[in-house]
Amino acid sequence: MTRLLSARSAGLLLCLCCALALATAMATQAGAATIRAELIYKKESIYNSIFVFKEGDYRTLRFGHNRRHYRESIYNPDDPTELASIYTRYATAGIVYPEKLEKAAVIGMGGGRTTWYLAHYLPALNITAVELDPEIVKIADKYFGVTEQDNLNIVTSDGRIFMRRTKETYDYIVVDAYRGHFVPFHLLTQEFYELVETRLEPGGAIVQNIEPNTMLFDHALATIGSVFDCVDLYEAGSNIVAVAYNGSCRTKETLIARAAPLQAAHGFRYNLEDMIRERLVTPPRDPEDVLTDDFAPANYLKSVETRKRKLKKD
Amino acid sequence: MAAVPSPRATAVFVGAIYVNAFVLGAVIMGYEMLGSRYLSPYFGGDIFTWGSLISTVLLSLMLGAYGGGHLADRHPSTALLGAFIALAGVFFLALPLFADALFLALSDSIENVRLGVLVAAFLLNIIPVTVLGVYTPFAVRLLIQFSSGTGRLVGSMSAMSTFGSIAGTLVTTFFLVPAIGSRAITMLFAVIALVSAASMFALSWLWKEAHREKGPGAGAAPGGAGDRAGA
Repeated sequence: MTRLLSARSAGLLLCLCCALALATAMATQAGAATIRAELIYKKESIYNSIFVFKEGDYRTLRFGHNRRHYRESIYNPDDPTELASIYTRYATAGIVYPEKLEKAAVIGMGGGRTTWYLAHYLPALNITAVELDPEIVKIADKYFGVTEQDNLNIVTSDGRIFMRRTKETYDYIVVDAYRGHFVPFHLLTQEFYELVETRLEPGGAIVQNIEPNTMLFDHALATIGSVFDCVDLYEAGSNIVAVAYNGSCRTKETLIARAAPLQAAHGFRYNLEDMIRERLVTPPRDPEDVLTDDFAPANYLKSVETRKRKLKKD
Repeated sequence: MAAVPSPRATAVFVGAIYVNAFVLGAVIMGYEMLGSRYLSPYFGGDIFTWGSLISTVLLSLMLGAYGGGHLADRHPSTALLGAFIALAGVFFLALPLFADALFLALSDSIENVRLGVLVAAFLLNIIPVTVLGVYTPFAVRLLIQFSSGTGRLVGSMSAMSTFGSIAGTLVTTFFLVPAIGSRAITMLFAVIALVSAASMFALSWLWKEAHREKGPGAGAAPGGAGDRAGA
């Protein structure tokens, strides 16, 4: 037994050391922000080192890795409809796509900005927000003003297990599951998107945030595109937001025609029509890049930086 | 002692046993790392997945070591050891045929995800890792007749196996997973295990041949010549 333990711990230790070295290297590359902010709350959960900071007028939710912090969510307590992360604004623009807006799911609630914004402006939309970490659910409630309400149900679960087990189908599904700068590979594979597709109402759409400057971008795009008929892209700050759906691909004109009455009816802070006009031309995808449960080196691909893509405006 | 093997035959035999300790140590840890790729799609990739994998690999190694040690004293046969390794190889070959159906059925039938992943990890590891865990005590038993010190032999065998485990962990996580699919890696482990098993059968045969040249009464398999531990 001693041998077994020592054999294994030696193996694990070496592995850990190398992983640590690699993670440090990747963290340095990622250029994580250095914080000059006041720490309000700190929690070591089974999934993450979670930090809540006060940064000027904002509260931020950060995950720590190797003494660096990765911003997961940003919230203005005095102005809760403000979506300070630009990509979350575009995650709300996707509501132009579904044929009806009765039920929505958010996979990876985090600080819950997108979730709260949608629940706020669309009281008739029933939202289920899925979050892996129960501590995050508590923090979202206490520090980010996100709590269960009539049209918002919060479920603590792995996103894929939730999708597998739910009996519901949704008109709009937001996939935003990150852990620091790591991506759980099982939420990025063809099998995952096929599962999501089965939980999507006819005429529904999914939206996913993708960082454009790593090798993972092409692979994520190819994977989503291998399941859904159409993938539309929007430049959202330093990120790209993809909207995927089945059926015939929408022209920009039809989308703008749908955006205008929705905007007028609900008075969204971030104008749907303006965002839809920012649509990009989806680049060709290589079927070779499709990620599967069998082969999905998500974190490796994400660690390989590429030049930021210059995508043409549609 | 009935068996008087040539120094060259002995060197080949001892060397081959050490090389296989390295190779199989690598396969065990490589397979454990690979386990997360099989389980994550169905049970998530969190600390419970790793806890389940590590504990069930250790359980299997424990059972393999205990059973293997006892069996080795009764039947110190290189061919029998080869049969165990071959069983692991056959399991690896078959795994991709049933893995997805099995884990999907488990994740759908066991409501508690943490229990589900523990059961899944157990089923993933219990057969192949147990039979591979037989190797180290068996190897010690086979080599003890050539050894001048039990401590040195057991220590060297453990070190060799651990060295293999380090290599298997690093190569699998840093090179194989980013380069090829999980099923392809499983097939690679299957081939390695089957080649290792074949080398055991070859050793068993060569050893008998070596003894046959020495004349009758010298055909015992290594280890059959009597336990000289502590002598």
